[in-house]
Amino acid sequence: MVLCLCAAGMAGAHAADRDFEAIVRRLEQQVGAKRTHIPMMGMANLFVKMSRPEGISDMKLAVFEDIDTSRLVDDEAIDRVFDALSNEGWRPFVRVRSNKDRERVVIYSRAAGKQWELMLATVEPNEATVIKMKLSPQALLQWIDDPDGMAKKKQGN
Amino acid sequence: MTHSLLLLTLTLAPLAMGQSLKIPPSVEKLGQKASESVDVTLDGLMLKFAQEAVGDHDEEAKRLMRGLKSIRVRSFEFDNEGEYVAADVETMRSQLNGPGWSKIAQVVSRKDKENVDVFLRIANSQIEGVVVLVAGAKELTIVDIDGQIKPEDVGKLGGRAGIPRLDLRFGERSKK
Repeated sequence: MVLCLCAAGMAGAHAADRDFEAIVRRLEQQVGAKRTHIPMMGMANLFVKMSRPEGISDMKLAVFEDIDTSRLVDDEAIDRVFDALSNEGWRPFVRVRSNKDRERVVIYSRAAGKQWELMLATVEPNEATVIKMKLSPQALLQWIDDPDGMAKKKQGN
Repeated sequence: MTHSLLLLTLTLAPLAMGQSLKIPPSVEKLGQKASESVDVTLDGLMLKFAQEAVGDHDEEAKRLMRGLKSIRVRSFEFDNEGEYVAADVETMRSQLNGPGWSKIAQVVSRKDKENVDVFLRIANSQIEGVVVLVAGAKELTIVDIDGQIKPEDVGKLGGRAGIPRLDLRFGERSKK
């Protein structure tokens, strides 16, 4: 019984990871570069899991540094990246685009039991990040209250 | 013949009640020209989840969200005047002047070179949606709220969910 529950939990986690990995791979194809290897990334994820800042949990992060993001300028290019989502409930939530600063934030979201999941891609002139995270209901309220402000804050971070 | 007419009337009845605003592709593409653009979409599931999350802590927020099905905000800021064409806005205004829609407020500010229009979608004597168009010389904002909401509550949503702060106290007609 316990084994079955563990297996079911792992299957769910794998499905969520699959979407994150699919986005990262599509972004790698789009910019023609691999994600930056971050030493101790597992440790960082563990820290986030334990400290749960702002009601965030299960955070995954991929960083692309020193890349040419000019191929991500068009809406179509970003749409092609997010086409990689399995569409299991993912829906567009926020898009912030600054042509002046050549920056973009695209966020998709979906319900995940009693929590909410966000998949973010931030693009700056020479770098990009993909972040997947789970939000507590209270953290989601902060995002709903000020979605573009929170998106810009994530870009700043 | 009578049956055919009745059938036609019944078929067309939902159309006459007013449909949700369709944002033209030309407007959706303005993000490519704008210096900054923001799109926010809150769907029914997210709003329901949020309503449950609010619980009893914020009765007003809970009440505001109760009848809502979705909120869409499209906002564009331009460096120069004339970067979007009036026809883009007129396409939306013509939809909102159609059956089922009613314009309840229009504010023209010559000083800010800005027009604010507020439209209600009414069905069965109930407000089923609100659209606010803010068309300025260097900005264009479309707020499309689908669901049951009182006009006086639209202003209370300002500053939340990506909706700009609009002082829509009816009768005083001003924009912050």
